[in-house]
Amino acid sequence: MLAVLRRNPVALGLAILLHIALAVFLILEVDWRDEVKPIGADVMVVQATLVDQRKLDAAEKKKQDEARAKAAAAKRVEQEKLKKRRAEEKRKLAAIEKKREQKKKEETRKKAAEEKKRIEAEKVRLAEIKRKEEKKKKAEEKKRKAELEKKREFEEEKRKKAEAKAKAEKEAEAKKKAEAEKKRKAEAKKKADEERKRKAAAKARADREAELAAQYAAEQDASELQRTVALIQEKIERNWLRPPGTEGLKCELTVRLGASGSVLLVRVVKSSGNIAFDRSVEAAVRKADPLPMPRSERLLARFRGDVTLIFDPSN
Amino acid sequence: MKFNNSAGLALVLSALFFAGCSSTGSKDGEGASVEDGSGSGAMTMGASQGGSWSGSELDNPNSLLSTRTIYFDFDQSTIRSEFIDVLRTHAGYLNSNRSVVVTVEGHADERGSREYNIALGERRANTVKRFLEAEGVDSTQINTLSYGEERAAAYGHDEVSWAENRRAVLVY
Amino acid sequence: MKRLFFLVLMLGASLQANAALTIEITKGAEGALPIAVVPFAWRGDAGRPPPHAVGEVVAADLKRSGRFKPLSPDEMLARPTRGEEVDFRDWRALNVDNLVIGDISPNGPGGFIVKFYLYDVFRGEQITGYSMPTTARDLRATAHSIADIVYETLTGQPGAFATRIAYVTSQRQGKDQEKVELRIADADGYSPQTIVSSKEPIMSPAWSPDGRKLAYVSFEKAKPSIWLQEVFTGKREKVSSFKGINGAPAWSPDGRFLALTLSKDGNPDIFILDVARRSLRPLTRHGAIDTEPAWAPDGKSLVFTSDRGGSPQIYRVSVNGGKATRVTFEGKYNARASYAPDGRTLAMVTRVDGQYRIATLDLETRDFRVMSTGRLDESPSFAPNGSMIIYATRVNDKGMLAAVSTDGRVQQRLRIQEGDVREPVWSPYHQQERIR
Repeated sequence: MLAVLRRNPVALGLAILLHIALAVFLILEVDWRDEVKPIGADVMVVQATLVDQRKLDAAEKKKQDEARAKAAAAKRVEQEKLKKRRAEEKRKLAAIEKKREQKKKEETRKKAAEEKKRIEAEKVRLAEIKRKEEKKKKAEEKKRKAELEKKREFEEEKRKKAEAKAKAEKEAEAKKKAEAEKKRKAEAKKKADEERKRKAAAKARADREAELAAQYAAEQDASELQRTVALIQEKIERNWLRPPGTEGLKCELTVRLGASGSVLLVRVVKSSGNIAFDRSVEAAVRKADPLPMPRSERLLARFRGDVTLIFDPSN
Repeated sequence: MKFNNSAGLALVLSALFFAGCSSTGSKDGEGASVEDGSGSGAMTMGASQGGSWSGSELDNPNSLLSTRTIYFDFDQSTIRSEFIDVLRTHAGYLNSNRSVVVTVEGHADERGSREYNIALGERRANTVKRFLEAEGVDSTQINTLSYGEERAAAYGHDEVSWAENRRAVLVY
Repeated sequence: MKRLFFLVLMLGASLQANAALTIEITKGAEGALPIAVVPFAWRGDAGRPPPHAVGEVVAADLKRSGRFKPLSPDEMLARPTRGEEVDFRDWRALNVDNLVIGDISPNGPGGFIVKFYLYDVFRGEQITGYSMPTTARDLRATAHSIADIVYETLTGQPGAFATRIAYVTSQRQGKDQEKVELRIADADGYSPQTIVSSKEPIMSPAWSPDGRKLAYVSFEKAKPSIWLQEVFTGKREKVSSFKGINGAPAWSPDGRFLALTLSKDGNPDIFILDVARRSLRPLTRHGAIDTEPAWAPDGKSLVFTSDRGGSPQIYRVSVNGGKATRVTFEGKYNARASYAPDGRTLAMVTRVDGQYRIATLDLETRDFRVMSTGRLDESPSFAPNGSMIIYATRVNDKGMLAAVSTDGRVQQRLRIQEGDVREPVWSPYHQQERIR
């Protein structure tokens, strides 16, 4: 190869130069390209179409009309708004006016009412005054009448008295006569009365004595009853051996007694529920036989009926 | 529990032989029963009695071991201080003789109900047992048995007798 | 006491009315019923009288109950032994309310017929009468049955005279030697029979509800165990022998369980043993002493002694276990409770001023009454009719049994034997046969 290179020195030199140039261009970054100009920037290309003048005008007019209309519309709107506002104001004013009217009316009404009231009150007052005056008049009238009456009565009285006096005197006479007569009769009656009273007193005394006697007898009976009962209780209690542990129990017996107090019959009417207690109670009565009896006949009868004994050691 | 000392006779003879020698009463190591010095120190009798004890230590009347009864206060099962040494001695003995078993009998005085007294007796026995265990004795060496008031030691009905009956007894 | 005279007269002011008269009686003496039990006649050979004086046994039973006051035969104006011989005036004069007469006739070899009649003296009529065939061996039991009939007829409550008691006796034989026996006897202490004999302690006998077995604690073989022994045959079996305490057996009311005290788990607690299955369940678990259980008659709860509060008191616990509630609050020592048959009252040992006495506690009203007067009383047990409590006491250094009526009015001592007697327990009603 080297032999070839030596045989072609130019080629070699060119090659070398080329390579150097390439390297330089690469290193210097030479730009080979031309500047690019925008095409058509300063060339006006008109794309025209034929235009009708009339149409143009019409369009122009339309535009104008529209603008006008728009302006009119706007104006209208504006006017409307204004109208509305005015109307509103009017309304408000009207309302205010109305209110004022009403108030006025109200006031006049009130005034009228008050006037009316005042008139009424005045009327009433006047009426009251009138009434009072009437009343007074009436009272005075009454008084006058009364006085007249009184006077008349007084006159009447006087007359009557005079009459009466005359009458009385006449009667006195008669009375005196009758008196005498009566006295005579009374004397006789008195005598008879006294007689009767004496008899009655005697009877009353006798009655009272009888009553006292009866009361006394009753008391005697009551105390004898009490005494006898106490004796019976005592005797039975003395003979009653109560079984232990039977506190709170209760038993009822019926007993029939003979004339001298002998126990004819003993019967448990209400058991205590405890055999021993019931037995003890019956035994107590039997052990106390004969029971003490009262002396009075009357009382005896009561003891001869069925006697109830209640055993209730509630201490 | 007694140790059957088959060499006993020989010992006695030898003791007699050496009778002339003075002795301070300390035990000689002969006799299979007891070993020296296991901590509590009460084993070695410092008793002033002359002569050494041969034979089972349990039978030594000079040993605290001969005290088998612990007394208690009324309604109490706590160990009184005066018995602590005794119990320590017993503990030491048991510790040195691991095959020995002791039964602690609990008792109560006659007052009150019988079964409750059985329970009281057991409480006392257990107190002693726990004491011994605390001293190192193995629990398998201690049995307890309560007799309550059923085995009285004194038969009177007064404070003296009752005090005598409130006891725990160590039975070997 | 004031005399309340309350007179009710159904009368108005006039005396004419015929209304019934009513009188109220408000006071009587409380006391035992006077009764006369005439010594029974013996209709047989005068040279071979019956082994027991039936009338005396009857009179002694009635007296022991506290409800009757038998007339001493010395004071009797007559000694009728047949119905036709009875003249009520003889007895009314002595203010005796009731009269018992009777006789005994021979009935074959070793046999008797006992007849008795009970009269109401003031009504003057017979109330009841029985004819009872029996034997020499059962003659005393027959007398007790008569006492039961008289008691029940006149008080309305069943008697408990034909029941038995079990108890422990001990005799000292030389130093540290003792002979201990468990015995059964009639409720009045007669006809004792030994069922167990030992050199070691026996404690806490308990009757089974059917009256056929006794449970007890025995220290034979130098350890406490619980045994059940059939009373009639002597057969027995050990049911509890755990380590430690085995004690205080108590039968459930249906007889199926035993409550007992065991300390096998470290300290005395109460356990329930199923007797048939031999299975055990704990009832209490507490570090304190729990012992001496007793079943309520309805079987739903138990009471027991516990010192969990510092000193022995009675506590109650449900049979299903759980929390125990304290029952006694009087004094510092209450132990060994036992239920009355009606389940309403407990008897127990209580300490009062250093003395140990029997007391009863009414569980409803909380009334606590000291019933006995000794210094060292213990082991109370109710009669099956609830009318009396038997217990152990000491008299002059001797252990004896005593009985007190539940109203506290009558106290008695039972003379049993020499030596010490203790731990009585009353049998239930079911004791029919006598033991051989």
